[in-house]
Amino acid sequence: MFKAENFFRHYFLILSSVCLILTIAILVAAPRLPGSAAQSLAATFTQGLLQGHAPTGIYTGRVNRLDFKHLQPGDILLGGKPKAAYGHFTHAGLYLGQGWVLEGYVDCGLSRQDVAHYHFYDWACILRVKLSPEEREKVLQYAQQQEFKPFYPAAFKTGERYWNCTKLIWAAYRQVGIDLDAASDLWVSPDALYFSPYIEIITTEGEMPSCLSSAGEYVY
Amino acid sequence: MPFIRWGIRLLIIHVFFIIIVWLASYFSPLDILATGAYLYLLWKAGSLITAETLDLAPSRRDALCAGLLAQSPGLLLAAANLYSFYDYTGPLFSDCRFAFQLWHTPFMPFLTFFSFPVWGGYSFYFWALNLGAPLYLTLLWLSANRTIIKSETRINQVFYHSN
Repeated sequence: MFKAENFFRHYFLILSSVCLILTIAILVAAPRLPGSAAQSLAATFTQGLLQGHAPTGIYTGRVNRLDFKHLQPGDILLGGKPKAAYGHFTHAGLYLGQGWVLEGYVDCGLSRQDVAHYHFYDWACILRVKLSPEEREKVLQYAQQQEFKPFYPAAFKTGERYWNCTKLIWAAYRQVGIDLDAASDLWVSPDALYFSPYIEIITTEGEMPSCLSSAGEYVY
Repeated sequence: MPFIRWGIRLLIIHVFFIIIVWLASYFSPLDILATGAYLYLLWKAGSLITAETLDLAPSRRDALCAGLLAQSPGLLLAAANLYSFYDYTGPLFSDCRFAFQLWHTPFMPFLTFFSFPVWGGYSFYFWALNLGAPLYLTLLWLSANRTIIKSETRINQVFYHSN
């Protein structure tokens, strides 16, 4: 019989055990983990934090000259800034057309934003996945169905209840059978989208990484 | 001062449940079960805190003070957040918003079932998170209140039967 008094007497041991069991369960259940542990988002983030990098990816306000004239609905926009803990790029959005991007923010949830704010990242780029018009429509439709849902920064790839900016894009493209996560991690990072073999780089502005992060280090 | 001991205990339990609910979200809907367990434990904590002080003077104060201590990071982050709605001064507030949301992870599972419109530039779910700490305190207060009412009823019954 469960007695609350006993729980509160041994809560530290009980709750640590629950954390450990859940962690092991995730590692066992994960279909694929990154080829190199150093490439996992968790390793990159931890290393970044230890180096004193920012845990969030808000833009610095320095202006870039990313050319939006190449944009087509379904394109992916990435933005980044120096010294961010979780990668070269810190934010991602899905272009809907007519100057609107669907993206996730901690305080706005999954919402439409003006594309112009991608000018305020230190570096930014536009990526495209080759799709038929029907597939593109399916991707956009799925993404728009998630509009107004809450944002959760550390959302796992599983499920459709927790969202962040990159998971939204990854899940939308999964609807047409495309897995954009180059790292096959538990989470999707903006960098993983950039290095996906399915994408074509349309235009870039500022520094671009030449290989996927290895625990916070980039080769330019 | 049982409220300090209980406050620290509840603070540590809250931090554990941030991790547990987050990890459990991988196996959705296990996260809802984790949140349910957390709320049940809070309810029990309110009752146990009050029961500890019942012999001295029945009071809901200890449970509330323990809750305030346990939720002080959440309340501080909520205050920083509300202030930033009026005077946003950059990346520090942005980090605060992430910390604020992570702090309220144990309450997130309920919010993930709904869509929230954006109002005043902010999603309603983000406004709703500001209620997390007050709701936590309300739960402790209700539990303490129930314990006191139950003990008073028992005393009255003993007094009635002895007369």
